[in-house]
Amino acid sequence: MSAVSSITLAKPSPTGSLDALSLISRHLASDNAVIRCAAARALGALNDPRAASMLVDALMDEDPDVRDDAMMALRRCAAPEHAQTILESLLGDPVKDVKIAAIQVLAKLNAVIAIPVLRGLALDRMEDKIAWEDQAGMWDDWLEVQIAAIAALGKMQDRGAVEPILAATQDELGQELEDVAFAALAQIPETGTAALLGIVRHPSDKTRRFALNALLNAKLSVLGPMIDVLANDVSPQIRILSLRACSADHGCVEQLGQDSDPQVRFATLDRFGAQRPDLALAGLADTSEAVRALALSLVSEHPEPPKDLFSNAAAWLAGARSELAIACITAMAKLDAPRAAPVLIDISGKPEQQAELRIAAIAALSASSDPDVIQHMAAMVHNPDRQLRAAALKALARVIQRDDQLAPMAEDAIIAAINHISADNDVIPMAVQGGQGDLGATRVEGPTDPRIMITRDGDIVAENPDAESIVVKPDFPRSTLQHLQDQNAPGQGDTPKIPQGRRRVAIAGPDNFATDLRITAIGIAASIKSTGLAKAILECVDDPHPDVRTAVYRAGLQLVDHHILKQPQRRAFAKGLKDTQPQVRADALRMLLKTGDVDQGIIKLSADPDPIVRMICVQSYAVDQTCQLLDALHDSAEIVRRAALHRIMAIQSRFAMSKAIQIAFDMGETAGLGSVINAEQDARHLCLEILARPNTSSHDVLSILIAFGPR
Amino acid sequence: MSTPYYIPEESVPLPPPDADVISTACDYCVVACGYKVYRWPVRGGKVGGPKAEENAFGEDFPTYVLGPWIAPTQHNIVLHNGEPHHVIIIPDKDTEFVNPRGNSSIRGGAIAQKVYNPQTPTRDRLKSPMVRMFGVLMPVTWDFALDIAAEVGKHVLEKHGTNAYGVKTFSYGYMENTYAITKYALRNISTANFTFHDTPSDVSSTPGFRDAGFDNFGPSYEDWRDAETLLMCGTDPYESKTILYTDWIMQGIQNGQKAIFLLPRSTAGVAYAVKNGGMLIDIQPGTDLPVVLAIARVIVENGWEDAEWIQNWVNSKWESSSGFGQGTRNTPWQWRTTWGQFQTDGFEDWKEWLLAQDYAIPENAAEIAQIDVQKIYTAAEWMAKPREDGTRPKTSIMIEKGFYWSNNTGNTNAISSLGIICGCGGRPGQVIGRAGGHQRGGLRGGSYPRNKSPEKLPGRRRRAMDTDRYLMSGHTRLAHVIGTTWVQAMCGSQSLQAKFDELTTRNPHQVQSFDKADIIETLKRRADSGGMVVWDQDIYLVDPIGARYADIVFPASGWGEETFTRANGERRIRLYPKFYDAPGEVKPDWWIIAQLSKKMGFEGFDWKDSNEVLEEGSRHSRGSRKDFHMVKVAAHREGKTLHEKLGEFGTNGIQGPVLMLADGSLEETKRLHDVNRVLPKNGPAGATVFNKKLTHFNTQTGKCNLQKAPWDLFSSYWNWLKPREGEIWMTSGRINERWQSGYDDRRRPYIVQRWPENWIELHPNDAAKFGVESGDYVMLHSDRIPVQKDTIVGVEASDFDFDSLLKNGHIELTRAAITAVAIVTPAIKQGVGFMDFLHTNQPANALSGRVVDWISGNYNYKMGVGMVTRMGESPYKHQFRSMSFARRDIA
Repeated sequence: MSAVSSITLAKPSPTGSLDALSLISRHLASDNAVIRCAAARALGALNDPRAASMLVDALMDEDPDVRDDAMMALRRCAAPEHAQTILESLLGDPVKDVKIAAIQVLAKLNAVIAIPVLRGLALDRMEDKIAWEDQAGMWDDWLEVQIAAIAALGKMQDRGAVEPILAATQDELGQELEDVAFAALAQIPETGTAALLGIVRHPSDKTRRFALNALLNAKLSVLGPMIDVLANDVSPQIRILSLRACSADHGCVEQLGQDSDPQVRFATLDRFGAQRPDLALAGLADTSEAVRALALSLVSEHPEPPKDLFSNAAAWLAGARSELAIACITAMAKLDAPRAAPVLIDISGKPEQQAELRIAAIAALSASSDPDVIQHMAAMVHNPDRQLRAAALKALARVIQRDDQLAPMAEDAIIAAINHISADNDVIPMAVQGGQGDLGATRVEGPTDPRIMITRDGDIVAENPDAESIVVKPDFPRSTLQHLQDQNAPGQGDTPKIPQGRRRVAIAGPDNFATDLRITAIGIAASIKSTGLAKAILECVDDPHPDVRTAVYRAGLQLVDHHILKQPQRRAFAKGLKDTQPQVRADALRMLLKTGDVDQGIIKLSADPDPIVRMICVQSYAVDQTCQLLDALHDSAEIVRRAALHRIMAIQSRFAMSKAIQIAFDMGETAGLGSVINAEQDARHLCLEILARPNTSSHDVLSILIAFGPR
Repeated sequence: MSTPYYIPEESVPLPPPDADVISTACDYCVVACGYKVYRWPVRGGKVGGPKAEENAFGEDFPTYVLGPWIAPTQHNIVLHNGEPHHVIIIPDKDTEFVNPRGNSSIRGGAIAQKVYNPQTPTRDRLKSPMVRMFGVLMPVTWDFALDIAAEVGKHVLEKHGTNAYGVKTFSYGYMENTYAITKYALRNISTANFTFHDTPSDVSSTPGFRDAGFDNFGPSYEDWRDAETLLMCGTDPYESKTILYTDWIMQGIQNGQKAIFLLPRSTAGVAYAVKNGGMLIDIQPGTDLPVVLAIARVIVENGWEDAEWIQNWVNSKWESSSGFGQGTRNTPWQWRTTWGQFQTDGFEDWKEWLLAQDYAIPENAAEIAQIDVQKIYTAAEWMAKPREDGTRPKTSIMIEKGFYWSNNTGNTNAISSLGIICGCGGRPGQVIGRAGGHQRGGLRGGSYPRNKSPEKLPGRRRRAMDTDRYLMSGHTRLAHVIGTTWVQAMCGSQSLQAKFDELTTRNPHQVQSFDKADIIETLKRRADSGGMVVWDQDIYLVDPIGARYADIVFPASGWGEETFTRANGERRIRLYPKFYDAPGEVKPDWWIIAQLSKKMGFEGFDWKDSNEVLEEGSRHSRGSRKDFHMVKVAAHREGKTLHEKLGEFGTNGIQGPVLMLADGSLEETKRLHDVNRVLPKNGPAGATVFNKKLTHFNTQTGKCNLQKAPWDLFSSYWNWLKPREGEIWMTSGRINERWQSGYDDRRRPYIVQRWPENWIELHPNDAAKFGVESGDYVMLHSDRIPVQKDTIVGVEASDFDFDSLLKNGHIELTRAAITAVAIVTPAIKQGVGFMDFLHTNQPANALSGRVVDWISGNYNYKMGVGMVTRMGESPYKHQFRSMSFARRDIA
């Protein structure tokens, strides 16, 4: 299909005889709209002011996409003398996208002649002057043109536009424009900002909010005198926004820190808490849990936190909701790790606690130097909830990274997790602290069980024993689930009852706990530089479970980076090149390439059924392997072809590059040409040469024009 | 170990007289029946009694037949304002429209089971945002998840451009949500890499309707009832829109309506119609077009066309001559003029073309479709033959996915023209439209940036991007997936899944840290390395898009958990109020999008509640089929919010487009294109839009366009695809008992027991050939699933014909296999296998070719082929607890 039968890469002409502008622009006259579109885009991408007049001519093309592409291209190269024609396009071209691009060009050119039209478009469709597409029942094109016009008036700082912009926002039947309109007004000096300052006193919260936002985003100093007014606004959101205009020492900050609205207090603390320890300390007494949580995290970072802070945090923890509870957990561990340990062990071990709290507690325990804590975390590694298992493993990893006397214990725990193979490979022992599985967790109480209550968060908690009984009938409501559980529960009498107050059931992950644990443990172990852990990972290299092997080889890539593997150990990974799992083969190959332990196995992998494996092979080819690289350009997978092309560019072989371009044209797959011609002058010149030939096929012309187009 | 089985509940409480009563509508199919929620606190143990004065219905129990009876599946316990409450959710017996008898489908009838209750199988609702760390989705705070999403999103936009940021979303999940999502994706991100749940590109589902000038949802439900002849193509409304069938069409059939089905399969609705004088035209997949044109040919050969209608309402030569009846201006339709394949110069020109087509000769069409040719003649007679007194039958045409997803452009062109010559359009009982699948909850917050799409084809306007092909080419670096399975819902699912694996799980950059900054850096590196990051927003964790690929999961709230608004299949707009607390930290989609957008630096997302979102969006409904802007104007004049005003309409809702009359009152629209409707002479009051389609059709002139429908634009694909030795057609559709991907159904013990797996209906002759009996497990497989590759450089129209694509190496043949349980039944046409369309574990779409209709950009989902291999007996073969192998096509 290609007209390019043979290519010889010629040196670029020193006189630049192959002028991209002229070669591309001639295709604006093609009888095919696809080619004209591509030519318009390519001309724009040249960033050459000489292209502008040609593109202006293309604004009269019969194809709307060509006109659209031409106008878009003009955004890069139009000059003031083109403003009149562009304005005519805005008026006469019915295509919305052309209009919007025209407005952007006119704004960029600061074309004063367009201002009356832009003001008009801010208010209505100007049907008497402007042509529109008739797309009944579809999107009303004017809505976006209106927004573009308002934005343009702002950009052009048109002082006369204030009135029409304000009128547009007040149209009861119009679209909501306050964000756009106020942003434009903020750019118009004096009249625009004055109008906005007036709107900041508007009765509508929402309008005031938009106005203030616009002024703040414009970073104008005009708000300075108004801070007191804003800080006393009836809307909490305005009061919050006023913080953006304040400095930490402004008189309003203290007032806002004691605001009646907790969101305002939170925002104040969030913005100034680090600079104003007094605010953080005051926040500890706040009635809002969110504010207290923030204050606690700030104060606990202080070099000399209050003495009773730990006790307070512990007390709050007992009754706090999620956000404050997590802050308490973190703070307690920071303030006094030994004292915190028993509490955190208790929380992390309780199935009825929220998953987020348990995870936070486990993470916080990694700061402890208590062997009992390590033992607890080692037990948590075997928790049935995979989220907790991962958290425990990561906490142990942190202990190892601390490299103190507990590191060997932590390492042993992770190694145990890696090595764990139970009899049926499905069952892992329950941790002492671990609760029952999901079945127990969600089991419905029988008639004799205490009644339960569901909180807003979906938590199941015990009903207040003092409250009036809610039981309609002793057996009501019965459920299918209950029946099924009763029928099928193994050892019915042994099924553990739900502890009262059992809370959210986390996503528990796959049923195969043991394998999942090993995979997670291998992944986390690989992030630590430890010969013991590396050895444990290496011992799994022949594991029969494909997912475990996949994890081992992915881990191997990290181990290589630690530089702790000796060559025989690295060699052990070579067997992965023959693995049945494509991911294993891919990672084995990556690893061997990293270490330089490459052998002949790689050659075989160039025909691997997995495209990622083939791609890695291609990326590894050396300068003298151009034949293989050129072969890879025929690969069925695009990622392989793309990799081959990039590799050819990287090795900078002019021969290979010319061949590669020839292959691309022969195959009709020229999607990668763009990156080549942008990076290589030779390739660029070659493509222009092809473009210059009279017999180049329309497909090849299109390919080249697309390649020259915007990226 | 025994298989668990379903035990029905035995009791249900009656609501007490003082129970809260909340009007809403069903969440499922397009019909959207009116429902009432009765809610009262659990605390105190109060329930209603059997005497009329003791219950909220005011009825003595036991009540009369079809009285306000409550099934145990219509009861649940939810949290409301933090307190446990009973809810009874039943069809509204008082509603005047949609389901005026208080009837419900099996889906809606059990809708109370969908609400979250941790004691039921809904317990696995997503409850908090999650971020994948160490391969595990970890619960995190909203800020933690949103900060990561925003930072990585901004990076992708900055470094890889807007089109690298893909957004794939539901189109119907309430107007408040779709407005927020499209405002984010189209107006702010401004990506062309955007589409909805059921299509690879943001394009019209029924191109032929659009070109003819028909709105998809012009008719009202009573029009379907009032037709004397009703042609239903590619759907049995009983299976998928039950109340539309039982409460409207069945009434018509009982009144003598001649119902014709164009389907490869008989079902209960078909059986009822046939028993009452109707007919099934049992075509083989993809052959609708020749049959439809053959019916048209018989009509015009006999001079049965509606000449008066054609004279008044069809574009003449002069009217069609510029812009294909769409006017002199450049329009999205212009390209079709250029290709010259579809445009006609009016009726005589179209007739001449039709009579010249060999495949439209009834005998030839019957041969292609493998049907009895007499059915073509009978259909033509029923649809158009005038009576002896010269009056014409009132004929209507309904189409749905089995039809328009078989030969998208060709079928919709052909049926439009058949409808036009039969006089279907805009009169009581004489209409043409879609039956509909899901409800209509779309509201645009921005227009599609067409100029960013790479899909410029010769002689036509640039078309929306094919997001699947863009992803397959490795250009998508961030995929924000909202309320869709994506992978299983698209064609060639298994090769699409392999690409997802390559871009996500197989990329070397996987999060191995709890630290936010580390996570952000890792995900950025993945995107930069040519991989892809995935945000999934849904109510349940879906495999694989959420469970396997998502880096961040945003938990969303749904029906009953927030106040929302939506329209149904006759444009009836209703409020769906919040009546219980969403689980955990769950938030509505609009809120999630707003927070993410604000963190990304976009303005205009400061909404306080869902009413504010809808009020902002209402302006964008103007001119659309569900224009409700004047409801907002009226509401504000009355000092109410839009939601408050909509709530006043209850289950009756208000039928759009809504006009405001000069006296400030609101006027509904029973049907679109209503040529008999008289609008106020003084013109629209205030800013009311008198859209052309209120009384005319969607064309420049307001008249319909007759279009050619050339079979050869599709036949190269059909001929290549049609079953070869050992293969049969593989097609799919909905069944009554399951909704969409079964996200609720798989959490209903009864439905799980009834349909534990996907299944395939096989004709007894095919089954004998494959050695298969009902209850056997079968593998359905193919090694020639065509998949369109990469970017195609096309200059001429012919470059995009399937034969050219194949010849030029743009089609790759892929392999796929799924399993199913065989149901051997003569209800299915020989040579065709029929499956449920979206079992996520056994997706029928895996066997459909991923080759778009090059004119429209849609997939032809219903077109697949494959082989059947018996694997052995399923556990259901010899027990009667799960599944059923009884015929479904019984009346």
